[in-house]
Amino acid sequence: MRKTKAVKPPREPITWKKIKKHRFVYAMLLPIAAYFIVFSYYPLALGLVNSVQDVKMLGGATFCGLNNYISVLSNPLYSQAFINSLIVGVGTFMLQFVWGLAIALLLNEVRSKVLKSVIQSVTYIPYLLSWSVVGGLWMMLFSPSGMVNGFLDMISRGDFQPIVFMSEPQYARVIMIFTGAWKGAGYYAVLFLAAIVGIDPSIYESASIDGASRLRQIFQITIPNIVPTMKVVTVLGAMGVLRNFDQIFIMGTSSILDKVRNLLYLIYTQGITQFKVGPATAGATLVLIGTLIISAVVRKAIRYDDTYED
Amino acid sequence: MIFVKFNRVVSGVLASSMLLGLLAGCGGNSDSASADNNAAADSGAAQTGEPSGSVRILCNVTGGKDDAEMKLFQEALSEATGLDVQMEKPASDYDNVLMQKLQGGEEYDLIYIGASQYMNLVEQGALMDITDRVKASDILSNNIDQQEWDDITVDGKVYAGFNKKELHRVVQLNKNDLEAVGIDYKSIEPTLDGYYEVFKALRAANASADYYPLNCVMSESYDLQPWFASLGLQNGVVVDEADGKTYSPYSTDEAAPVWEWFKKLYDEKLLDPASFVDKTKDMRAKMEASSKQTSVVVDWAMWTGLHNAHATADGVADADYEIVNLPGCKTPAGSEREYMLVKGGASLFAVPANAKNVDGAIKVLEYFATQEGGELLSIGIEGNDYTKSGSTYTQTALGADHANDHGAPVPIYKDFVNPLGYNRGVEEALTYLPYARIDRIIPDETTYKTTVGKWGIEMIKGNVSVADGLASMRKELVSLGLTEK
Repeated sequence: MRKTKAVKPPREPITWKKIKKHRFVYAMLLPIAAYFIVFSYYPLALGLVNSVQDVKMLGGATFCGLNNYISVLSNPLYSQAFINSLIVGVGTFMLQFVWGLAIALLLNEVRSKVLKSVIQSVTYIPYLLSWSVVGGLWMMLFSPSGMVNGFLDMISRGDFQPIVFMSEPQYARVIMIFTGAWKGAGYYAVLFLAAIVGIDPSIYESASIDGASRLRQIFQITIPNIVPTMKVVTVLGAMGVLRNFDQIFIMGTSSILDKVRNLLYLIYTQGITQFKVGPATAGATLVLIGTLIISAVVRKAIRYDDTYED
Repeated sequence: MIFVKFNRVVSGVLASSMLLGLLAGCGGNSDSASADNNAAADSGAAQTGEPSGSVRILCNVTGGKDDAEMKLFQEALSEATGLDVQMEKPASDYDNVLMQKLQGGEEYDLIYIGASQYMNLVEQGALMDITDRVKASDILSNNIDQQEWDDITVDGKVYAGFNKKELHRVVQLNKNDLEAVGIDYKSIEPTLDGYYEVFKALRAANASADYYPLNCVMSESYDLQPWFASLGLQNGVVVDEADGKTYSPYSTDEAAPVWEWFKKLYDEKLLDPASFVDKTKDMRAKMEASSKQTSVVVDWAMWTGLHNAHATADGVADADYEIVNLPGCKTPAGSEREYMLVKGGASLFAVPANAKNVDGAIKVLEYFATQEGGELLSIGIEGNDYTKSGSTYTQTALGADHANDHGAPVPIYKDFVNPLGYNRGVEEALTYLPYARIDRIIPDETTYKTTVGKWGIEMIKGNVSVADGLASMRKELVSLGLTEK
C-alpha cells in the first residue's frame, strides 16, 4: 500500500492579540517563568560571565577572554573526566534501560497484586535513597570482609586473598555502571509499566484468539506500544549522561579515581575546594553545551520529534 | 502546531536548565566587593581604641553542638570580649557555603578556614594582612608560639589568627592486644623490622578473617610518615635545596624499601587490605573497643583519648582496653629529628578583605589565645558543660558528651592548662609533639594525596614493580603540576 505523508496545516503566528485573548493562561505561567528566571537563568548568566573572567573570592573580577576555557581544555584531567563521564554515563543508562524494561515486562506478567506491588516497591526503593546510603551499602558488600568476598572465599580452594574491588581500576567502571543502574532501574520500570498498563487490552485479546504466545505478545504488542515512552526515557537519560556527581563523590577511591572521576566531580574539586571559580564555571558551561549537543543528537537519532508531532 | 513548537522550545530549555544549578553557586561578584576591599584596607591599617560593636563570624567546628548551645557560646564570647558576637555555623557543606558567602560579597569579620584554603584565598587577595596588628598585640605575640606564626606566614605577611593548636599523628596501639602476645609496647624496636615482628606476633594470636594487625589509610599520605621516617623521608612536597625544585620524597627511589615493606605486610595479611579504600572514620571504627578489628593505626593524638573515653563510656573497664602511643620508626643516624611525625595543617580564623570590624576581630583572636578563651573553646560554657567552685571544675553530663571539644580540644595558648585534664593517653601522645612538623602547604593537597595513594596501592598489591610505580608516581605528580621533579 502506498504510504502518503500527512500535510501539516501552516502554523499560526503568536500575535499580541492572541496573547491578550489568552492573558489569564499566560498569567498562570508567570510564577513558573519567575522561578526559572531567578533560580536558573540568572545564575546561568552569572556563570557564563564568570567563565570569561578571572574571578576572585572578594573584589572585582577582570575579563580574561577564553583563558578559562583554554585552561580547562588543555587540562588532561578534564579530557580524562569527559571520557569517564561518557563511558559511565552511557553504560549506566543503557543497563538501566534494559534492566528497567525487563522488570516492567516481567511485572506485567505477575498476576498476584500483592506480589506485584512488593516487587515494584523493592525495585523502586533504591531510587529513593541517597547515594550516601546506596554507595555505602555497595562499598560494604564489595569490601574485603564483605559479602562478595565471603562468597568468593567460600568457593575458592586454598588460601584466599580478598579482592579489594573498590581499589581495582579494572572493575571501577563496571561497578559504577552496575550500581548506578541498580539504583535507577526501578524508576525506569515504573515509567515503562505505566505505559504498558495503558495499552488497549483488546489488542492482547485479539492476539490470544489468534493463538499468539505471551512472548510473542510482548515483542509484537507490548514493546512496540511503549516506544514513545522509551523515547522519552532515552532523551531524559541522554540529558543525565554528564550530570553524575554523587555516586563518584561517595564511591570514588584514590586507586580508581582515574577511571571514574567525571566532569562534575572535577568541577566541584576545582570550584569549591580550591576556589577556582573561573575554570570551574568554564567547565560547567562546557558540560552544559555537551549536554545540549548529546540531547540534540539523541533526539534526532531516535526521531523523537516525529513521535510527538504526529 | 504552535504547541508543538512551544513544546520543542520548552524541552530544549529544560534540557539546558537541568545543569544550571551547577553554576548557581559560582555566581555573584559585584563591584561593591571591590569597594569594600578598599574600605577594609583602610580599616586594616587603622587601630582605634577599645574595640566595640558587632563581630560577625562564619565558623565550622567552633561553638556549641546545637542551636541552643551555639547561642550560649555566642553570649559567653560576647560577654568575655565586650563585643556583640554573631556566629554563623552552617549545618553542613561548609566549603560550599563559605565560597558562596564570599562570592556574594557578604561581610564577615572572621571566617574559619583550613591551611589549604588559606593559601588559595591569600593568592586571590581575599584576606586582610594583619601582620602589624599581630605584632602590636602583646597577647597574640606572647601567648602563641612563634613557630605557629611562622607556619602561616606568606611572604612575610600574616592573614589569620588561630582556632586551635594543631596536633600531630602518632602510632596508636592496643596495649591489651600487645600484652596478650607478651609485648610491652615501650620495648618495641623502633624500626620497620621491629614493627614487622610485632605484627606477625599479633597475627599469630588472631587468625580471624576480619582482623589485621595494621590499618593504614593509604589515601591519607600522612598516615605513612611514621614508617617513612625510618628512611628520614618527609611527608608531602618539599623543596630540594640543591636545585630549588619541589618533589615528593615518597616518590623517590630512596623510598622503595618502605613500599616493599608495605607489600610484605600485605602479602602476609598483616596489613588490612581495606586500607586501600578505608576512610579515616572506617579505620577508627576498627580500632574502637566495640570492634577490635585492628591493633595498630596512625591517627591524631587526640584520638588516643577519644578511643579510651568511648570505651569507658561504653562500660569497658580501663584494664580491658587501652590505646597507647608511640612515635613510629626512628630516623637514620644524623637526622635532624629522632622521629618524624606530621603536624596538622593550621585551623584558622582569617580576616576577610572586606571585614568591617577588624579591631573586634583581633579582640576575638586575642581572647582565643588566652587561658579563659581556651577553656571556652575546649571544655565549653560554664554552667552548661561544667560548673566551677573556686578553682574546682566539675564536668556536667552534657560536657562529658561534648568530650572537651567546642572547636579546640587543645587551644592555641601555649601555656594552656586544661582544668578538667585530658582523656586517658593524650598526655603521653602530647610528649611526641616536638617530633612533629607541618607539611609544606600546597594548593591542591587532595590531588597530591590521591596520586601518592594510588601508586602506593599499585605497588603494594604488586600490580606494578616498586621501581616502576615510583617512576609513574613521580611522572604523574609532575604532569599534574604538583611537583617539579
